[in-house]
Amino acid sequence: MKTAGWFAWSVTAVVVVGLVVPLVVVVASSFNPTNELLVPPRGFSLTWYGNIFQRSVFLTSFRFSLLLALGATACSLVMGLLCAVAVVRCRFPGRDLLGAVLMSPLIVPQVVLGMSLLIFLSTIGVVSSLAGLSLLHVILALPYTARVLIAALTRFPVSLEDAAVIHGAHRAKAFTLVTLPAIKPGLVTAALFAFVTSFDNFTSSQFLVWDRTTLPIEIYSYIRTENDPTVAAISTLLILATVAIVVVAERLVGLETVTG
Amino acid sequence: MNHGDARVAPAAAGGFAPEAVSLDRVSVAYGGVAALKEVSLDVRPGEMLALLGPSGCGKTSLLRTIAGFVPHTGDVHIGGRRATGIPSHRRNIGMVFQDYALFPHMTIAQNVGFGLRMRKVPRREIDTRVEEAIALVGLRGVEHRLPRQLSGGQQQRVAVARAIVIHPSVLLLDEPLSALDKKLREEMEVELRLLQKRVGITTIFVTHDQEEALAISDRIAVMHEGRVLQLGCPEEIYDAPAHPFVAGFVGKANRLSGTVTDVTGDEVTCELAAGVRVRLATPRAVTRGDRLQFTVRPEKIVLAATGGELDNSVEGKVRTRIYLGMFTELRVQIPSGDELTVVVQNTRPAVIERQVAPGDAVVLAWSPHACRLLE
Amino acid sequence: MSRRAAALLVLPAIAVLAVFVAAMALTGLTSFAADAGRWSVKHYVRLVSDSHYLGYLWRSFRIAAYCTPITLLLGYPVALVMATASSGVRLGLTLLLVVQFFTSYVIRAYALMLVLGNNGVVNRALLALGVVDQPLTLMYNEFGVAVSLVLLPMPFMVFPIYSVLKNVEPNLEAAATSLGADRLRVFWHVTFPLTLPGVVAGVVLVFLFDLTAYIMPGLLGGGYFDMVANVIYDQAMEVRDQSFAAAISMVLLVATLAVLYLTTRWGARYAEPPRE
Ligand SMILES: Nc1ncnc2c1ncn2[C@@H]1O[C@H](COP(=O)(O)OP(=O)(O)OP(=O)(O)O)[C@@H](O)[C@H]1O
Ligand SMILES: [Mg+2]
Repeated sequence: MKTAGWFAWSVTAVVVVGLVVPLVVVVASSFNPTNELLVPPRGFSLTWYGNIFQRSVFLTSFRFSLLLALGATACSLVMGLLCAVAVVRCRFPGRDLLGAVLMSPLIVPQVVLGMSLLIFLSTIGVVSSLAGLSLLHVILALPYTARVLIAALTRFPVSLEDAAVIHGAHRAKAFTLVTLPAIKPGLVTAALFAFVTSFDNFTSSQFLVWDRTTLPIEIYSYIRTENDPTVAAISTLLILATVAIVVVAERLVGLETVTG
Repeated sequence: MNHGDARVAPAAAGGFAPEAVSLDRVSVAYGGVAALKEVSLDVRPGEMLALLGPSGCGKTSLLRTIAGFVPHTGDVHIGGRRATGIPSHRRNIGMVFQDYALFPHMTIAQNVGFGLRMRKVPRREIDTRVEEAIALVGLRGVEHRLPRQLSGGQQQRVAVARAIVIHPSVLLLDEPLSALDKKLREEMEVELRLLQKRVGITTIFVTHDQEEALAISDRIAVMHEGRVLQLGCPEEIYDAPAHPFVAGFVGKANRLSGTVTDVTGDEVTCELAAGVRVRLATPRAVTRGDRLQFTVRPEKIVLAATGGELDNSVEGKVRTRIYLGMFTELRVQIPSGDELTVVVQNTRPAVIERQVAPGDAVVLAWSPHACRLLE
Repeated sequence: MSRRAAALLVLPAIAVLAVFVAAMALTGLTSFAADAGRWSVKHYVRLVSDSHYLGYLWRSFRIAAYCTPITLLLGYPVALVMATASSGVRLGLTLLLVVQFFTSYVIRAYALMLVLGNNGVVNRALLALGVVDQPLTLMYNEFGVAVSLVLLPMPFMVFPIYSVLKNVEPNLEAAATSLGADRLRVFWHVTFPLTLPGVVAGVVLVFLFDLTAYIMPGLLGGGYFDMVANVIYDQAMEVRDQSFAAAISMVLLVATLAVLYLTTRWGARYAEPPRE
């Protein structure tokens, strides 16, 4: 393909500015010594970073979100892997239907999903529970892990696993010794999707939280009520963490599996 | 080529006790589609057996049945023991896959040692046996590379080393050479044959390349549509095809048919259309009036100035001529309407060779013993 | 592998999905629930007869309908640059978009608030340059929400187009050029039609994202410019009228499914190679 023309390059520049400037502004504002959200900042101070640790809600909700995301990642990864093995390796009635149902949580609007789960949980009498919130996060993450792992397993040549079996490995051992290492990029990407989907989720989670809330929900309500640069400081830390994770993932497995 | 008993006797020089494989009325079906139909086959200890047949005839299915990867009916015995019910990983089989199936995340040494690790062989012994196997396939020095850092031919040898290091009772090769270019393939054929003779493992290898099968196997099983049509040494398969499909699939064959007009001793005269008479030697009794089908290999027919010493001589007209370097292939139409393919060795440079051109009249001649009667 | 093994493998996921399906079904039932255990369509009647609530639905469609094409216009060139530029530029753009993709919408919307607010960079720049003498209202209104709905779903638009674009056979473009097409016509007659599957995928994703947006109107609208998702939340959690919220949810869900159905039917024409 020929190189893109000046028009494409100019539009790209506009988009890059539109995507980068807000992030830069957040980072810059977080170092403001005053209560204002100003760019350029009036000086340099770490007050607002200190404030994160003063406000215990941010720390507790961060820890809660982290645990929730780790749990949801582990569950959805295992379920997604098992489903992928069944869908790719087995022929059974309803295989195509399963594939479609696995993806269906993706097309339901987040508010609708959150509210539906609330209605369901209150009908069976389980509200305000970790179980309900965890269930929601597994439902949210499962389509991503299943999709990524089905793709990875489809590309994996079964003859490799057969080779391990014929040379003396039990089928289960062949799977862990040969298949799992070979689909590592898929596993990493799937875990990344699952973790981020859970950790960042706001819209449907807000229906199911009780006195324990997640970090995005704390941040959202803080923005709508107090709105001082503490949020900018938290955002800066989370953006840096995201950048670090993405760079590591790029080194580890490349980003092809994310961009498609 | 000598194909006496020495070739099929156990070549148990390497210290192994190779055992044979036997299939008894084995059938395989994939969701109602039959891939193998009541196949019975005995593989002799130490021999190299080729499974030859067109794509989709069931060669891979047969190998995978022996390996225990596909559900089947009928019995499989390996080394005299009934294998049905023994899981694949305990059958002690070495297998080389078409795409080699080398583990991409393991080094060459780790790949080769895989089967030994699974058998819980002591570390020390693994190291020496891996070293020996790698030396055997002539790959010293690449132990610590990854599979993708090797060429296709080298990868193929690693796959062979991985399969033989476990001292398998049978070695299965699924089109092991098909991914290589022609020249490398021919080299590897010779190497594979020498290696197999050296270690003396009973080997079954799949190929759809008849030259490969003829070149390196002790015996060939020709398969077609899920059945083994003929099992025999290369010379039998080529010179005495028992089935029209075998005759057509292995080498080229001119098929003719006619009615018996005269029987003298073990020679009969057969009349084709338009009164063309052909004499052929037949091993079985025929009587006047029988309809016969028989084949003549293209290279057994010569262009003769005068038909005489070879008993059969038929006039014909050259239709096409294809120059192929080592030989020239002619298609000649004879008065009966049949078109015969004739192969002429180019013994002299093309500039000197008398050029036969399409349209020329020629005389074809062949011996009655060159004709093979079909069922 | 046997059917029994397959059944065991999918069991955990099936259990989770069963809850999901049951929850959706229950919401459907709730939307038809009247007092004292009776069924009725009164919530739907209320929805279609009250211009207030219909207005929110209409507003969401209207905004999605004009924001999506803008995202396409901005996103397609980015995908084009990613597919053709040097590997350094490609990596840079990929990293930027993946970071955006993995950053919480709450944070990204918040970041836009710092740009568009009265005290934000844009207004301060305009004031400093003397273009305006008092800050423009760039958020807590439709404009702010629209800006966020154009920018935030950018990865959803760029990735599908990019993944199709990078696999376009370069020889096709070379062939078109050799036949005398200029750059623009090569793009319009060859490249663009070939990437239609990616365009359709991106447009659907972004349209549905915009249609069901909650966080962007919540933060950049600041309560002054709610969209249909915000109304559903308020009905369910503030007004505590779950049945009415369920009815609006069902309408939104059906709209989503209709969009998907229509575009897959329409898009299938481009996803398959032309017959002829
Ligand atoms: N997993 C399967 N499911 C359904 N049918 C199959 C499967 N594997 C093979 N078959 C069918 O069984 C028949 C035999 O296949 P097999 O792979 O044994 O042929 P082959 O002789 O090895 O062919 P090739 O030379 O192309 O490798 C074919 O008709 C094939 O289509
Ligand atoms: Mg095969």
